[in-house]
Amino acid sequence: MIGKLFILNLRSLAATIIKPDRKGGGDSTKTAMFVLIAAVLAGAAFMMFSLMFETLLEPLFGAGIGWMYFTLLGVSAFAMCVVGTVFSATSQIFSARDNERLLAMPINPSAILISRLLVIIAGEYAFTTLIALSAFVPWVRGGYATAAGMLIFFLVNLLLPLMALAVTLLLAWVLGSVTSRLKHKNIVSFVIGIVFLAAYFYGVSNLQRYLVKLLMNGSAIAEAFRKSLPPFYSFGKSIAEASVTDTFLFMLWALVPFAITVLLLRTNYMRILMARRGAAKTVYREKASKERGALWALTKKDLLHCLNKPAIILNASLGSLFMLIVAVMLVVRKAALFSYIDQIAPMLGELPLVPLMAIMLMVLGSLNNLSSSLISLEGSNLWIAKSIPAPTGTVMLSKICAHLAMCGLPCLVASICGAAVLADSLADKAALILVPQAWCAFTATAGLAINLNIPKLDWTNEVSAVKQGMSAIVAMFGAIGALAVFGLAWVFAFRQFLSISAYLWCTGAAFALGSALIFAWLAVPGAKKFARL
Amino acid sequence: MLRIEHLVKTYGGRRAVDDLSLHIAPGEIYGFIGHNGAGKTTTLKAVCGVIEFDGGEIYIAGKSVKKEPLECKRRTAFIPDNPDLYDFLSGIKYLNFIADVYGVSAEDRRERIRKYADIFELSSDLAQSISAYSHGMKQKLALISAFIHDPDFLVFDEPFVGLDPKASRTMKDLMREKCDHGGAVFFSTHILEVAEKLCDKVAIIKDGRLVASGGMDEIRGDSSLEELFFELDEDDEWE
Repeated sequence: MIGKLFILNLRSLAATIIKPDRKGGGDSTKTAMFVLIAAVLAGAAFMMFSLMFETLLEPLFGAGIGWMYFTLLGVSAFAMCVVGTVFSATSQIFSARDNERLLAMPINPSAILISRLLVIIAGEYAFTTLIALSAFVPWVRGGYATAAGMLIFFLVNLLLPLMALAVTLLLAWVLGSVTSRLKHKNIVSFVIGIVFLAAYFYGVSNLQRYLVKLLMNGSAIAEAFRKSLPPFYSFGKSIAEASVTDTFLFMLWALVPFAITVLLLRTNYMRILMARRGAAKTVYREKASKERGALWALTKKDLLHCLNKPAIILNASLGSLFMLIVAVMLVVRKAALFSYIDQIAPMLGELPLVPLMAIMLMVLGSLNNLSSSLISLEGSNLWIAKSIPAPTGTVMLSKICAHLAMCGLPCLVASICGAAVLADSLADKAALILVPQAWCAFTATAGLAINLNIPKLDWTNEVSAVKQGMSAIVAMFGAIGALAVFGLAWVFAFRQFLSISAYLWCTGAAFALGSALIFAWLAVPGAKKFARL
Repeated sequence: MLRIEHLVKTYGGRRAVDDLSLHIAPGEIYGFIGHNGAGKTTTLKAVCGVIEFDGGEIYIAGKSVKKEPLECKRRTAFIPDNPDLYDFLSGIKYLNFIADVYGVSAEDRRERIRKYADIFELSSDLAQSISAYSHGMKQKLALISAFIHDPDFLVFDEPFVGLDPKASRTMKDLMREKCDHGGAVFFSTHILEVAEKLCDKVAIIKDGRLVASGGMDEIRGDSSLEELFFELDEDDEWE
């Protein structure tokens, strides 16, 4: 039964990414595309971690603190496991939509729990394998590996996800309990998501600085790790010194919390699932309402959808958050920004600031793929959009407006701040405002067209339509690819006879023309396609 | 109010609706009966412009659903069998959304929301998120939204599922009231007793084809609607 439920969970996960065809099979092109994208992402992460471990290997082993190398591996893998699976654990273990359906069947609740745990732990093993491999290769190549060390390496890396699972489950339980009792749970979820994300980006952006610090004060930092993180110290020491005692100690660190957590969860699983949680009821009081048009109503509906589901914003409008940070930085930290620009000026070469800022905003804009999920997000509510007396063109336009409100406005704010701080001439100010807006319009229309061609309407969790839907993936990589093509075209072809500022205007015009053409397609042939959905 | 002429809808080569013709006059409550998969929902969705059809024509108040879909939709209210609503909105926000889309004035919407929310005893829950609603509450909200633009023609797919007895009774009264004021109602149901008591006319569909239609008394004769339904079913099996 556990195996069947596990496969069911995996199938459900796969179905959120690749829509099965009418006969129940997967579309091989979409599957291949997804595998390719997943491989690229995994390859990029592998390269990043490999580079880090390559840098650390000699200095740490040379200083006689080789265990620190593996301790850092343990900490990185542990953090990746917890951050990468805590939200899935909350939704899979504590608030899965099919819990009640499964509990009504003659299935032991433990089987339901274990099958869900297996999905989470599979994800944690994937993260651990990726990071462990990126540390393993330099270690072996550097000639520091011994047979016993390698054996222990595999053993402790097998145990590490179990320790991570215990912490993941605890955090997921706290997260689920707290958010379900709060009235404004969406805001709280959003803030928690932002904190996780900020911590991740802070860590990644400061990685180089940390590495330098680590290499300069290796022994002192190692001592701090030894004292404050004993499980990871044992983890590192067990591999570096092939220490049986530390291996045993780490086994205890991994297995005891894991066993206690699973036992507690298994004993209380029914009670956790049956607990009625909810915020206080809001009583309706009649208020005056204004009459608005269909376009306003449809746009507002899509905006409320996004604002009510923080996961949608975090996954489909991430660039907007960064744009707002950029805007604040431009105004508040203007002096620091100019000082930083002076530092990196030699790297920029002939690139003036205004095009650089515009390119940065467009790169951030490529992270905004909201429109590529807005049709999928209709899901089982599609009948409403199709039965109302609003032209399909209006429905399409409302989705583009929603994208522009969520992604174009933050871009405009950042552009205006950038124009005020960085641009001198009127032409530069106009370029900094108009070109990123043309790009926003292009991503909005192109994303919607992609979603219209690859919709995913039969989701069970709407976040999956945004996070893992094929159209969202294609739109984001397509946007990055389009920017790369324009960038390479300048470097290899247009650089000879066009200044970067003139080229920027040309790309802006191309994006504006492209979005107009795509909108023309959406309004007529696209509308017919929408009617057939 | 509704004229369906030789309607054909196919799904992957299979005819879900096959040469179906039907006429509903103003003032009529018209029941639509058939097995699961007989083609009822497909027909209702085609009438409301939710799905495209392959052949035939559908007219609502003389306007072609194919040629003037928006005009037809303005006159119609449709509620599907499973009222999936925007669960990220509150009840009142959903009603205001529908009112905006149908162009209902602020005054009219306030009056109608008050009237129908009171009738269906949903007033105090309108500020709640739809995600917190039970199936019955969602059904009630969907019904309120159907009346908010004062349509001439109501198309309901299994409208009584999930409603409590009081709400069912209210619903029947509202359907009759709508017809008394010159409107019409076309609804599908599996509850033959309801169809028998409520409908002026009834149509029975099997495998996408209309097997019987007409006035209730005329169609059932001396037997009950249930007996007629099973008789038609058996006749067809003998064929």
